Amino acid sequence: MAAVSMSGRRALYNWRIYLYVLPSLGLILTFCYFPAISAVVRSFFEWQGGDYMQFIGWENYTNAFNDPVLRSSFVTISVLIVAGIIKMVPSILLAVLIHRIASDRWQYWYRVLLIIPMVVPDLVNIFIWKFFFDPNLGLINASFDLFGIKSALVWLDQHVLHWSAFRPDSPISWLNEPRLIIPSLIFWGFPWIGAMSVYIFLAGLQSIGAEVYEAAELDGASSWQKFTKIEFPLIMTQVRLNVILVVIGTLQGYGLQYLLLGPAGGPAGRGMVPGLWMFNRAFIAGQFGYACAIGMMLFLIIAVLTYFNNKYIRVEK
Amino acid sequence: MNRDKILNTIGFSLLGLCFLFALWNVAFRTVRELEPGVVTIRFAHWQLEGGLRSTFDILSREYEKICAARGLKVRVEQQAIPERVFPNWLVTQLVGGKAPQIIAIDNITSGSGMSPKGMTTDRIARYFEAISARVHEPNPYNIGTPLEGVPWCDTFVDGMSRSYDSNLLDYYSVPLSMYTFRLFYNKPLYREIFGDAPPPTEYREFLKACATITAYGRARGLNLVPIAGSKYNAPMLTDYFAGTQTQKLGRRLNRFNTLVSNDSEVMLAYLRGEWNVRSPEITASLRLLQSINRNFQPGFQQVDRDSATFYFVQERCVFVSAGSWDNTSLRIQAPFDLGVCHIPVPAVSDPDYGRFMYGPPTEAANGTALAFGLVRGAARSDLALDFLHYLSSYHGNALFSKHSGWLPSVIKVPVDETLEVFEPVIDGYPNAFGLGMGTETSRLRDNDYYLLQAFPDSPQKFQDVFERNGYGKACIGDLTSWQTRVLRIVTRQDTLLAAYYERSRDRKFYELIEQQIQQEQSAYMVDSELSTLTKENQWQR
Amino acid sequence: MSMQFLRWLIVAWVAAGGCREAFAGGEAATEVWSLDTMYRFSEAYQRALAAPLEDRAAQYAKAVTILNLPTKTQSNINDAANILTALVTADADDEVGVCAQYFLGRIAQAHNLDGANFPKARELFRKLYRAHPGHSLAQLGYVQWVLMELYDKQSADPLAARLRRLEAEQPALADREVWKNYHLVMGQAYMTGDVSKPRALEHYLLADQVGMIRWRGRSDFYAVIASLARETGRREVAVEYCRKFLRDYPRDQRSHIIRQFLNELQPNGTPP
Repeated sequence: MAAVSMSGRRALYNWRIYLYVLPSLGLILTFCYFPAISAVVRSFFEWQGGDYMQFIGWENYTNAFNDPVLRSSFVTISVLIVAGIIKMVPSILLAVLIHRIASDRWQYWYRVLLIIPMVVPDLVNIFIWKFFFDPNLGLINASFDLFGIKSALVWLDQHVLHWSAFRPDSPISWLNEPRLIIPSLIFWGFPWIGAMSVYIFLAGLQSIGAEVYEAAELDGASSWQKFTKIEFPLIMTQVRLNVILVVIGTLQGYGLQYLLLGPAGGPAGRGMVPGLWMFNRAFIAGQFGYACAIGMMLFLIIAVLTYFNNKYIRVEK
Repeated sequence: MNRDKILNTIGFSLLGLCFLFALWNVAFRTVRELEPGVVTIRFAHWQLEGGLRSTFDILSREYEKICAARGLKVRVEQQAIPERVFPNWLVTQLVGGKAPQIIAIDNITSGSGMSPKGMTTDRIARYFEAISARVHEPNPYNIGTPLEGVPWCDTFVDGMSRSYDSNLLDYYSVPLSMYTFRLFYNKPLYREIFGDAPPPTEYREFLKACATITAYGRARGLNLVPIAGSKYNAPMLTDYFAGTQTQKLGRRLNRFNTLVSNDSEVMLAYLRGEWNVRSPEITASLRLLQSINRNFQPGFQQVDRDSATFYFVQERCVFVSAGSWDNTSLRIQAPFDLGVCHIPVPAVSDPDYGRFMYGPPTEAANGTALAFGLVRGAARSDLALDFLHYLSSYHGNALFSKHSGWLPSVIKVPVDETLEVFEPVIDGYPNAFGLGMGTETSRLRDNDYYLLQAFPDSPQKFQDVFERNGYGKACIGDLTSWQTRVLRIVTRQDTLLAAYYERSRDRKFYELIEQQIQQEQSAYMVDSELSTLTKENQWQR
Repeated sequence: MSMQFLRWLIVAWVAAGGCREAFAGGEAATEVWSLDTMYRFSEAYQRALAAPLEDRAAQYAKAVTILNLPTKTQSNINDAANILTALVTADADDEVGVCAQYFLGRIAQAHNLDGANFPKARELFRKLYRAHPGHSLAQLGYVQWVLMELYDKQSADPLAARLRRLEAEQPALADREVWKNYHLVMGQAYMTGDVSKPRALEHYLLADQVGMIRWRGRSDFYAVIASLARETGRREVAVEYCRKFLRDYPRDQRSHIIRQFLNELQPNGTPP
């Protein structure tokens, strides 16, 4: 069939176009929109997961606003979001380093090396890290013992911090000491180089023309100046995209906390984040309606953040 | 052909081969199901512990032979679904109408109205067949055995009480096993340290043994701890110990003279000020907990079941506490001879802990497990029920126990001598309560538990923080949730009540009235008391 | 074909259709109840909708089913109440009318999402019992009235005073099972706040003349009676119920305790 060009106005009334879109639209409506709309509706009900629901109006939302655990979980998640943004730096630096490699062949092999660990599912990654955090058998404590870092931490605890988290006579319990929970969650994933992030930044860097670098060299720019004046500003679109992904991912995410700390958020509930509290309320307390309300609050927060991000964080090219 | 084309061809060929293999697998399965004259019975469960699947295979083949002798061509298929995905799988199968005839059912916890494996009262009522009409008839497979003529329900160790759904007033499942908790130990390592001395039978002996193990490890530069712990295993031991300390307190608080501790009663008693976290019994139970916790590996609270098993089989620990269901798994994984002993609780004569106890705990309330239900409307449910009859018969259950290494659920079934140590101790006293009685109180306890390790010499810090963090408020939260749930159940029962009244006005109708009135009274009683306590400004609701 | 014959044919056809509808309506209630017992309230409701409005039994079934439609809203509860009220207005004294009155009381007591209206529920149950003292549901309504009287949060009377007042009523509950539940309620109330253990025991013993139906409930019941009788010095009763408990529940977690009670009450194993 030959391609037919038509005006936008005409296209609106062409039933064939709708026919082609309909199957995909149907699937999106069924599997994406319907569950979301269902969650919105159920957030106004007392619902324990079965067929039975009782309408309670705004009660779930008022309870959520007065929920001290939910409030403190937002404090925790804010810390993790800031940490997550800072943890983008190694990926940016690595992308720049790879980009500056003169040999195409070596660039290729570095990219392959980055891709290979991606075949490991995230879940397995988390379990591996759980093992790293093991106080008796874990890699972290073994390394700290070997390089004398533990002694330094014990000294710091005794003379500065006074946490009683680092004791000379027992291994460091990374996930059993309340004050070490957030540092452990931040430290997770060290050295914080995500293949996808590096690829996104690399794509941005590769769009910078060679003439820009030539001009910089002519002007006598150093490597650092090239990074700060050319590369970093020109990949701000990708940086912004990654910031959005980090913020949304961190706000929604709870898998890491659940697998490392359990549904109660670990000792003193220090690892409780909004997503985990939503899970806890649904599957531990059986308050599915309330969990939907928490989900809706999260959705609104993410929507507002995304709106402000798009409106105010502009990138001047 | 250039390199790219070759690589693409290889890639597509691999994809094609995988697809053909999957297609063949599914087609072959379908063809098998279409074999004329062969009835397929399918059953599904989530128990992937060692030995169980092979046991079910053995039982399935035996049953097929029995049916063949009767002139019936039957094939029994087992579906083992991983525990994590079982709830999702269950709902998909039931709603899609593709469920196997028999599915494992677990108990609905009072906390959430849903079982850990996704069962709710609604799902049971809608998708599972009640077997009440059969439970008072003898099991036909018990003819010629000591259980001949005994009603089916009376052949189980708990009288099938766990199979009875108190909301639906019917029996819905058939249990095949029961469980107890024990202390497993590394026999050769134990012998190396203690010689021929038997394992400890009492708390002080146990503490001494743990101290000896620690000293032994230190003297030889070994990283050896007495007990392998985890957030899964440790409570099996510590809750058992701690529960002994509230035996007498629990009885004092048992206002309604039922002789067992009731969580609502205990929480109301806390709010009335009849006990608190500093009561001598609670302080004793916390000290007892701390004394046991000291003998786990550091940081045990953050590791899970697999890590504890790992420590144990790697011979870094001498003891590990586990359920009888882990017996076979541990035997398979441990490269050494495994010993089993009872959990060595304090004696009544113990100077610190004995005065709070009546005596050693009873395991009579342990109940049954590994229960299977019949899916409503499934094909050949008569044969499916027959299979369940076989599995829970004297011979069937004995075979199950022999091959799986799990305790039988049927009375008088002879157990293997390796399982004798797991048989429940009936004579004893009910352990009373722990600090985590509902969702909120449990969460608070779990959150503050680390303080018992951080300050191992005294529970005072834990007690201070625990009460300051609002244990009273958590009790009110749990009581209110319980009350709401009960009243919701009661209102649902109204429609059933009308239905039974109209249909037959028989035993079920009156049973429902009995149930409903009692539940409603309990809920009103709690509500009334909470109202009084909050009016007196002691607590805020 | 004559017009007369045609007219008779039409009348016969309409009448047959009406009979079919009536027959279908009578079946409707049965089907609705059957679905209700399987917790399939939505399907039950759909079936009830198809029934004719004149079918009182089906309308009653519909109203009671609405009480548990999956989405419980005040609007649904009001609909159910309206249907039941209409049934009562049409005929308060037939079987459907009596049952409808009971459930109107239950709506006020337990179903309204705006909050329980105990005074209204009490009034409805009291009125129903006075009008139909021989009907099982009316008697059950009386027991519900007793429950609300006992646990009325607005009442300034102490529990003991309320119990005394209720004891004075001496209701004649002909349905033995309902009578049993009345005594269970009273017994439990006497135990609350330690009002009177001997009185509680009396009520429990009366209830056991009928006996508990639920197997698990019965074990608690025997244990309570044995324990209460022991505490209040009723040795023969204590021995009797200890024996009953051990006979029926040898593997209960309280068996050891009950055996100790029995040994204590019968130190030489001699019968009382």
